[in-house]
Amino acid sequence: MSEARDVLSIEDMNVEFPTTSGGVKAVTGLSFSLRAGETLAIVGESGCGKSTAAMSILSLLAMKSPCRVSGRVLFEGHDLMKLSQRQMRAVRGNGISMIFQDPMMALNPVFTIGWQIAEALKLHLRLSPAAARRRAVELLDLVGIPSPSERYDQYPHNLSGGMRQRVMIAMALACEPKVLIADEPTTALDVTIQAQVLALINRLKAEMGMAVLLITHDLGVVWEVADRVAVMYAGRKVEEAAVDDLFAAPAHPYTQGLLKAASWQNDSSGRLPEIGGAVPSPLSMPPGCSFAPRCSRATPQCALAAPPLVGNARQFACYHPEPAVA
Amino acid sequence: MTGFLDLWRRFRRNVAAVVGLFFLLCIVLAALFGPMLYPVDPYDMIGRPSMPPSAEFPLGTDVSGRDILAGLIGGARVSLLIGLIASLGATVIGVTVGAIAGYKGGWFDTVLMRLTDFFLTIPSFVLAVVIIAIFNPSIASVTIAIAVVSWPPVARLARAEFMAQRDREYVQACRALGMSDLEIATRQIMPNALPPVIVVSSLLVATAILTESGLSFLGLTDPDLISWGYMIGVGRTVLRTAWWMPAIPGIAILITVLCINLVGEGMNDALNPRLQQR
Repeated sequence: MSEARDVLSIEDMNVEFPTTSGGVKAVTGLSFSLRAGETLAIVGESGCGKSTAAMSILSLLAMKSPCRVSGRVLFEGHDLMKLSQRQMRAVRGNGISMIFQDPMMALNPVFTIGWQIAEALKLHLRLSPAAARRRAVELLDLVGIPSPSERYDQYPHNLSGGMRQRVMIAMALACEPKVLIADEPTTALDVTIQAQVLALINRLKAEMGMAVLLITHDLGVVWEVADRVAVMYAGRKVEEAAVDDLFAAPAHPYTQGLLKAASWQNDSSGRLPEIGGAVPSPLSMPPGCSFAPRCSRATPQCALAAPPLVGNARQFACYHPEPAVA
Repeated sequence: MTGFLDLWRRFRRNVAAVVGLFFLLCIVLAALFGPMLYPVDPYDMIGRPSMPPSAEFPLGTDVSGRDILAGLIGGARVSLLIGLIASLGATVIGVTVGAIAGYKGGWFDTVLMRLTDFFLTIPSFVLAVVIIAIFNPSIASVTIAIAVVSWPPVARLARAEFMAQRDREYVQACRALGMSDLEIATRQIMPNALPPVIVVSSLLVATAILTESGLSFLGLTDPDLISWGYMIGVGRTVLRTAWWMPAIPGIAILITVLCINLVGEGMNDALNPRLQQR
């Protein structure tokens, strides 16, 4: 483990939402770390806790719904969980930025896009209005928006979805953060725009040397841009590996199912291979491995206790990994 | 600036609102410049009492022999001023309460909304009378009393708007950029929440003018100031012999309130985001 180069590391994060029928654990014992200049993708289906985990990094959950978050979030050696509201605000947007799924909704409709970028700049960098405007135009140019100084005075509704996502990226990158959390940045965009936005994120990552935490359910996107992948299922990380290793030889049966479903068009049978069953309700999680009820390789052992994460660079949580890796 | 032109273009489509705006401007201009064009002291007894309209006194004289036209112009100042300031005050109180309740939610919301309900359950006119009775009747106490009784609807509206905006993704994005709650509420959400509030508070001006008229009809205003309600109150005793005496200020109130309502409706159409696309 090269401790020094980790910009962000999450240690044993648990997120629990209180409900009338007891606490619901959205994230259980999640740990991962992110090195400078690398892209880590967190994949998993809807509701597996990947967005919840991402929001918890910046303590953005509490406003929307009451929840209990525990564990440690280390950013440049400081535990973000222990920061005051005020200190946390200094990290948000400045050290760690976030872009959201829906660029249609994530810009304020009553202000010009330039004003909104300039606002982000003034917030942390204390720039004068004129300097903020200059820098905002530069940023618009950087994210590939044509004739940026004219676009500066346009409103979000004057722009297409892809353009708006570029504006969001410009806002998030305004203060040159060390870490960019991208929560499904391309889900709302069509495929050609998707490729452009991903290429843009990749280019800026290389130029600014930041780390990217990419939250997605799209394995194609992962293959395209990620260096490492963490697979989440029902609130737990079930596998983590370098992208090439994971796609070449997935160890966890859930990962295998996901990959099979994603590459079914190469399948000669023409049927979409699905993973049988459904995700267990978070209110009644099986005591053992949460994937066991749907798993073809499950044995009585799987129902007793959740398998621990094993391995170092290549981690998985399964008693019966497919290629019998030690 | 283009925003205002846009607004005017949409406002213009409502003919009734434009007519209302025209007459309202006439009334405001009369209140502002009337005393210069018709330099008669409304407090001065200059003629025989209860004279019908004539060449000398265009709208006649009241029971004390004061010029009714001069009173009408002077009263316009008082009525419009109280109406504007009281509704502005009510808007400020209402938006503040509503914004805190809607944005913060939870405990703040519960307490502030119960307080609002408390004010809503008391008949506002009676509450205004009580407030004025506690302080001395003066233009300030009347304005404050009207503001204090008319903020609850604004608070409820502002709360609903803030609640709806609070969970929008742009607010989340602002928070992720490191903005404080105060910045988000005042600089980001406020401009989104304000249009419906502006409509309601423009209608509040009309209500405030009516409330003021009612209060001064009952003699609960500054006795040294002539307002339209006061003129009706003075004229009511001679309603059968000199009907125009209370009728003239009554018509003035009617036209003003009607105009403000028409303008408010027009603002509603112009500011309603759902109608903007058409």
